[in-house]
Amino acid sequence: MNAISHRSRSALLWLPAALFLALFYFYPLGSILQASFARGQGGLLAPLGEAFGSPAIRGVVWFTFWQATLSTLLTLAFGLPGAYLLARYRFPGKSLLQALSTIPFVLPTLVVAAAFNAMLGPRGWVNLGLMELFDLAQPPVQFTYSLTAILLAHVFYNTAIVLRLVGDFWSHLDPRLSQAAQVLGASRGQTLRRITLPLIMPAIASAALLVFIFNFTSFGVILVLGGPRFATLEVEIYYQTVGLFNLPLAATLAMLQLGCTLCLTVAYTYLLRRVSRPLSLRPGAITQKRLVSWRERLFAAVYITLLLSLLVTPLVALAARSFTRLEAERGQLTQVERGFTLDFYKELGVNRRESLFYVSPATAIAVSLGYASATVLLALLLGLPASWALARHAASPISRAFDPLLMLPLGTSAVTLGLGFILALSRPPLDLRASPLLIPLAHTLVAFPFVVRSLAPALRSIRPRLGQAAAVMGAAPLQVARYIDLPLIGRAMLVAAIFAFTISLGEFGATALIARPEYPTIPLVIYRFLSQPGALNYGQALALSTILMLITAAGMLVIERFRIADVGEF
Amino acid sequence: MPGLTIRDIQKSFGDVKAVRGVSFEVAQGETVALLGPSGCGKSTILAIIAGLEKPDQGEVLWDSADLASTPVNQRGFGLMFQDFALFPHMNVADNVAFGLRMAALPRQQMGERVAEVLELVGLPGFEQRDVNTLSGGEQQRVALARSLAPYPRLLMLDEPLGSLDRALRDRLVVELRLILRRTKQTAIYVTHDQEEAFALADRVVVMNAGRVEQSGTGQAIYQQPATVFVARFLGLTNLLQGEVTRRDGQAVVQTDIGLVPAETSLDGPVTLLLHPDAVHLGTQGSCQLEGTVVERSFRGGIYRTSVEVSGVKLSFDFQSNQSLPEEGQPIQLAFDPAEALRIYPAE
Repeated sequence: MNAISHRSRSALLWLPAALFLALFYFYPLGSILQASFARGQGGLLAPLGEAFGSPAIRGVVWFTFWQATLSTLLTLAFGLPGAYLLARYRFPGKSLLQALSTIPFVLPTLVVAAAFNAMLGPRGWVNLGLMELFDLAQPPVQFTYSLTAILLAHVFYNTAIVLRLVGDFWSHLDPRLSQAAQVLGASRGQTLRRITLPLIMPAIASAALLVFIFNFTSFGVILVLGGPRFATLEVEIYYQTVGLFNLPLAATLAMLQLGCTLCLTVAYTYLLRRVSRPLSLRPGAITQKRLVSWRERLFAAVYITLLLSLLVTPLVALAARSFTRLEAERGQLTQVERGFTLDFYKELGVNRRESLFYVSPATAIAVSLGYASATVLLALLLGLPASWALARHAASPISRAFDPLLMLPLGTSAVTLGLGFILALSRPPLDLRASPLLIPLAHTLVAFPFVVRSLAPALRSIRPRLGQAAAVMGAAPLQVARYIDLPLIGRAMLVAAIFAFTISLGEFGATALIARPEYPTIPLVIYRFLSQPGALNYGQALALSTILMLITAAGMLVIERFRIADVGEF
Repeated sequence: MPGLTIRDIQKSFGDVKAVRGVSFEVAQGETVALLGPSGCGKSTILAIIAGLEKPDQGEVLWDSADLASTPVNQRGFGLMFQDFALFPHMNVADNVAFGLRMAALPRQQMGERVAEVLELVGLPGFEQRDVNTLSGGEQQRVALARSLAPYPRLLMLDEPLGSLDRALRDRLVVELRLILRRTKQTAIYVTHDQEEAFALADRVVVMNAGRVEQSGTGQAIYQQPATVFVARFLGLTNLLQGEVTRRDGQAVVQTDIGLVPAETSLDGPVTLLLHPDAVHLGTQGSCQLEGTVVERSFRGGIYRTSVEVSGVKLSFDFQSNQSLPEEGQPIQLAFDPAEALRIYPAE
């Protein structure tokens, strides 16, 4: 114990994460900021003044906070009952439901937008149906380019975070605590308010922070579903960078966004330390029961129906649309034959334009899976020691300093990250242009906070007694980790791996900037199809989105099965 | 005085029948111990009485009123959990006051009652302590105080001393008994430890595999175990297989240690308990046994002595102040069959 002091052990645990963040986050970020400010006139203050002097930018900042708060509250309101359902009950089809609920989270924003479009857009199923039914000339439902569309898409995206993080934590909460409260005379509501909510607050806070940051930095949803009327900071950064090439202002906005994220995270860390308590965790198998009373069944039925209609309907609309021909292909003169078609899938393998950049979807799928696996490995290797340090050395000054830093990559816009990689990592001393690791590194940056946020609460809640017991029986610190902590956090590891895998599969913003054209990921190929005109390309984009959806679903199911068969809880 | 009545309670979890038709009563002011090995269904019965589980069949009555439609939080019962289930986000006072707060007691009275029960359990002045930093014994007392504070009509204790060390347990049993007596608390005490059960309870209900094997005072159960299971569970191990035959209307049992007369209506194969307390050194008794001391170990006031009689090993406790043969020496024992023998149908 004394050979390595507590503090240096904590430093050692932080080392991999620190190196990683220094090389692949701060160095690229520094490069882009340097480049941006170097080009600007009048130094540091000019872009700051420009930013806050403009009412338009002030409006953007206000809207960013407003929509993120609203979206987060809605997501919590919708997700928490589901977390309760998944935490406390066993029912047939549960793992399928869990897998389904995670799918939206990994879908590229453009695909989600297309899915909502396919359902509620001007030529979507709902509007087409209503027009047909009531013989209308105009689509009656105005959905796209509205705040409703943005909020709905955000809830669609982020419910999985609440279900996973809160549901997992909740499922391990000792049910006897609320039973004790009820025996002492507390009604269901009182038990929830005074016992359960305070105890699961760390998990709720974790989930809420992640959801908020996601909504805060939302890009694709705002751009596509919000239209020109709405802009968040992220969208504004994109406009300023790509559209107006005002790099100083873009950099200032990026710094502003980062600052907000950092403040939030610091507040969150402070809060978490106050509300987190040593809990005796119970295996989910013990805490979960079957749906027995009619009230439980009704609740489950209503919630699952709502969840499925939110999560599945757009996806089904998307898939159905990928098999349906509704419009004429350009150049086609004859009346279009509406109905079922496999053309969009058949066309995926045809290089119609004889493009040099043609990549078969099979290659893109292989590339995506490869990157995702590398990301899982990297993120877990880096995230485990860091989570350990966070959980076990929470009081050490190093941990206190690092905790908020971990969340920074999340609050950094994908555009900024991608640009930073291009600027910093394509020249000596660190030239990674040709390295196949470049994309997994970028993905790991995004996945890393999720991994840490999934692992640390689980590690924090393992009673130190267990490790001490093992140590007394002769286990070295590493053996304690191997035989006690790792098996105990198996479930959390899995959640972390799922997050890393799915984030990598769906990441679009940074990948679009740094991927080599001959090795695109699935979202990139989808984007290529989407950005080319015509019903055929649109159909192919939807077809490939459907394929991505299926791969993700299959992955989720395999992982869920694997958990039951091998890892086992506790 | 009617208190709690449970009638023919049955409960299954999937294919496992946890409780198979259990009935008993607890009069007001009485302490009843549910005694049995782990997995015999005693904790399930507590959960059913508390209202945390619904029985598949049977009734739970309080003062003859059915509680089936009374939800758990309106039964006015107390339940002390095996590992205490203290709320980790509240201090001692808030834990203890929880039930009072639910009853919407005025703040002033709440503080007084908390101080009062903390005094009762021997933790005066612990109000502001963090429950996570308390020792096991202190947590146990806080849990007890918490369940006592709202004046529960019935207090249920689920192996409350299970996780504590022997010395602490022995002391707390005495204190617990005093507290229950002083407050005239109606209580059910669940345990697998016969000493705890006998020490605490006015009446003991012995359970096995979801059924009641026997109920009565501790002494009656110990003297007259109703079944072989009860005898064995109480540590009465001198069990012999035998065969009842009748000679001139008098029943005799043929066993490995010889022929003994018996008062029984049973016939054929039986299991015989030779109660060690009724067997003594010497020849004063209508039945004599000659054997060899195989082993004896000093246990304070007594010698636990293993005696071999005709190839059968029997165990007895003898006062350590009488002269006892050494190991390997012959020993002469005597007993009165009516006093020492219990006869059960063969297992």
